[in-house]
Amino acid sequence: MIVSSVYHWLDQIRFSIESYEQVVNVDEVLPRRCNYKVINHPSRREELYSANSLRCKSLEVQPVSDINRLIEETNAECVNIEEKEEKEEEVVVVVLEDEKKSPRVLERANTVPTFYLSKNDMIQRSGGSLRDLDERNSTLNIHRSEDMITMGSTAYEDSVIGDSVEEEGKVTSDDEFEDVFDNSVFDENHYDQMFKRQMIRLPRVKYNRKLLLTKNLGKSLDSVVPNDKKDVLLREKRYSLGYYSEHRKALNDDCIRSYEVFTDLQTIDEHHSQETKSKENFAGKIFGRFKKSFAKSSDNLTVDTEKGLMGTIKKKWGSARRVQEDDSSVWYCDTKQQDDNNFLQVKHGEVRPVSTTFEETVEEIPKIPTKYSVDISNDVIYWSMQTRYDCCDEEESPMESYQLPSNSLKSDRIRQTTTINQEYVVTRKYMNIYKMTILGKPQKINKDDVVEISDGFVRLLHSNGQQKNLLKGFYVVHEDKADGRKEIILTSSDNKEVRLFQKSTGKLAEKKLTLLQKFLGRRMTKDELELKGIYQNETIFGNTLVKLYETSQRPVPEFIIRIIDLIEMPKNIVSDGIYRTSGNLATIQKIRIKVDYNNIQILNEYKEDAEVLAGALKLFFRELKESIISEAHYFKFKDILNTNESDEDKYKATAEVINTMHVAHKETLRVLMEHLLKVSDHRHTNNMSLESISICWGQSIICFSDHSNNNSEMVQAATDKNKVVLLVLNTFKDSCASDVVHSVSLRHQRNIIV
Amino acid sequence: MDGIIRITVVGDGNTGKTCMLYAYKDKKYNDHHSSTVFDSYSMSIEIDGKPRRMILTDTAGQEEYDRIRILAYKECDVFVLCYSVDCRISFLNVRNKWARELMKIKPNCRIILAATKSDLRKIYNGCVSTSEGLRLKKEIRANDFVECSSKLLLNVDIVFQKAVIAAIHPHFVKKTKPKKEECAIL
Repeated sequence: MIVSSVYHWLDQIRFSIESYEQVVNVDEVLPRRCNYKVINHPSRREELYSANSLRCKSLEVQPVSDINRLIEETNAECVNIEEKEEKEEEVVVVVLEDEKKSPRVLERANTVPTFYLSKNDMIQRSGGSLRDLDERNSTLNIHRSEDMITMGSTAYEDSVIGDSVEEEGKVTSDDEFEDVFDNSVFDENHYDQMFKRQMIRLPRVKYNRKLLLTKNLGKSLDSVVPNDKKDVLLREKRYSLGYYSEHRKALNDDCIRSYEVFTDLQTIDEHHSQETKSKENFAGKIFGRFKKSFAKSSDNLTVDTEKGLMGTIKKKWGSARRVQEDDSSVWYCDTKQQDDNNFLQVKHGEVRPVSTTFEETVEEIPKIPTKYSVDISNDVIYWSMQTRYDCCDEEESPMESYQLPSNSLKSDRIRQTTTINQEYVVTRKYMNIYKMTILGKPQKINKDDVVEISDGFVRLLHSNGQQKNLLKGFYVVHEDKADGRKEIILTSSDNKEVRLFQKSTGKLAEKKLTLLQKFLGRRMTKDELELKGIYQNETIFGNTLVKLYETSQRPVPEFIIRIIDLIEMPKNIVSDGIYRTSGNLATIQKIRIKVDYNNIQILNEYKEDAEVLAGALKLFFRELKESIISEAHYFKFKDILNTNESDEDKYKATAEVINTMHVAHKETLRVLMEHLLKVSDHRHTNNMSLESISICWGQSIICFSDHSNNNSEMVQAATDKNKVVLLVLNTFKDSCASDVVHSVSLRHQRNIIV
Repeated sequence: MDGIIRITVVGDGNTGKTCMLYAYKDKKYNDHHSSTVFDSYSMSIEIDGKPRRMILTDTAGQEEYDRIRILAYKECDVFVLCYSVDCRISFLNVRNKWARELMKIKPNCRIILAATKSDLRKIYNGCVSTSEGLRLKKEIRANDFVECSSKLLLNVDIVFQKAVIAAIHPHFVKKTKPKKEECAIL
């Protein structure tokens, strides 16, 4: 049950990774196969993570651990693959390093059915073959690993490379695990079906890995063994064609199997006959069918060997190669152009900030994959727990709330203390403890043990992977002790009491911490900051026209004059739907920031982009603290609109109202309106009539907040604003009325500017 | 559902939202050039032999009208999110602005992504291609993607058919996961 749901989740995660790729357009940079390849590589692990976190944040796909993959990745870390050139051939040398994995990870991983390769056989063979190599070339470092899991992962890692290796002259199919043997011998679907018929669930990844183990070991041997050891080669070839017989181990867990590797065809035959005799052994049946094809393919390969396998097989590093650069191995993935800039590289140990939310990532994700350092073991634990949690949750939902009614609390003490924090536990929480008592009896606790507290459960997770349920259905009572230690008392409905003791961070440290928290936690209000002069208006955007006038002694800000000049350039002013079409919003914000740092020259960079300039101008007026037509003036204009006078009288009245405005407001309005009239003069080319302009500008020129929440009211207010803007525009268009304004402003200009 | 299907058309300014609605409503191309503030039409259609009322809401694309537009979002079954093929900025703004805005206000809304002015592809070079549109559809998780041309009355009906299907078809109801895990800071 759980297994099936794990698969379900795995499917989901593959999906999400695919779509993540589309976000960053990795598929354009990387060839299709690279995806699988690189993702299994430790350096790309974080991409898997970030894909998950992306999805879970924004699009509500739960974070699921791809357990199989993670296991392999953690194992794969032990293995380095070096690539060396010898005699004009590239040779793959498998270097195993003895690194002990933390047992916790592996043990956790075992909760999912995993497949082990039988220990002795594997190690013996690989060791033998590699020893030959060692004799030949002493410079290569070869460590034999006794760890079977490392061995398994070697083959896997090998497969990662083998995947990219193509044989010359062969047309490669889209099959992920395309290989010479693969096509002739292993029909994946066929194989799959057989297992299905037996109603045994094999995790797909593991199963592939098993196949790859055979073929890739063979391949690496091909390339390693020199010509004069053809016999060895042949024998090893057979070895590589050998298959694994499957034994069910008489263990409690029926999912654990072991595989044996057979060296040469003789033993295969022997073993095979034994196997087929016991017809109940399904493994025997399956591999029996494969036997013929094995023989066939071995014939083919012998021919190849006589031609000189070493010559014919050229390792072509399709599109990805790995280079060892002092202490950091780098993946180079060539793009279509062999351009240095287009190299996509992942460096080990390179730390980059990665935004975790979807919103941030959408735009910001660079094409270069990012890397950040994460301790994987915790995540594996967490995610494996998570998966289990999700699996359970999906089918039987054991996560009921175990909240008790308050009157059922019997202990007086709890009644006193529960007031502190009655509903303490909401989400899952992990904590390290140094002491634990159950019903007053102290319990044995190792150093690395973790207590998990989640809805209704308290579990003790041992460092060796075991876990123990402590409580089910409890209240949590949180107590802080005076000396800084924490004591947490958990009591279940049947009065079982568990006490957890947590170490404190130390008195002094805590004091400092609280002080710091006090200092940082308090946030000044905006008013306070403004009073102190810390918070100031932005220099240009978000300021008021009056203040700009006071600082620069110019009634019209320089920014406006510049930008209007640029928009009135003959190319820009005729662009279709100017002020109506939105520009790139990100660019507009960029301009805003640059201009705020008095970098008005930035506008010249965008002189080709009329929409951006128009958007920036609109944004300026929208962001003004005091709208250019203030609320009082707006109502005056509105009153003029509602009178039944002739248009000319209206315009005159409007002009008079405009004259009562502050100099800065009036001048800016005049410049803007004259500009807009110029724009509308080109209405045959840019399709912007005065009405359209007034609709596009209405909300920008008059932008005080109205308090209507009703939809129709808001629409009404918006159209009113547009009408007022139209009125003002017409006022400036009307020659008599505009003269009134103009004369005043001219007089003013003479006084102040000139 | 009260039997009324509400479809709201959103997208950048000058992408042809109003034109598309006219083309669907009146079956003819209306070559007028004026911005919309807010508009809604009601029409009745027949679904499974039963008459249903459909309310089409037209909105302004300019960012000044954000507040008004958002009011229309509350009662809306399907969004038709437009970008114009000849204007790459409108295409980019779908991702940068519109999808975010819709997701923020209506996290599980149904979206039909519509590429308008597809007739201009023959005239201009560097138009937004179909594959780009499909990719964007996947990215913003829209329910469907249609390329249409109001001028040629091409596929305009299909846009609204798909919108109606998305509104009434339970298959399109996105799964909601009420429980949100706390974000693991990586």
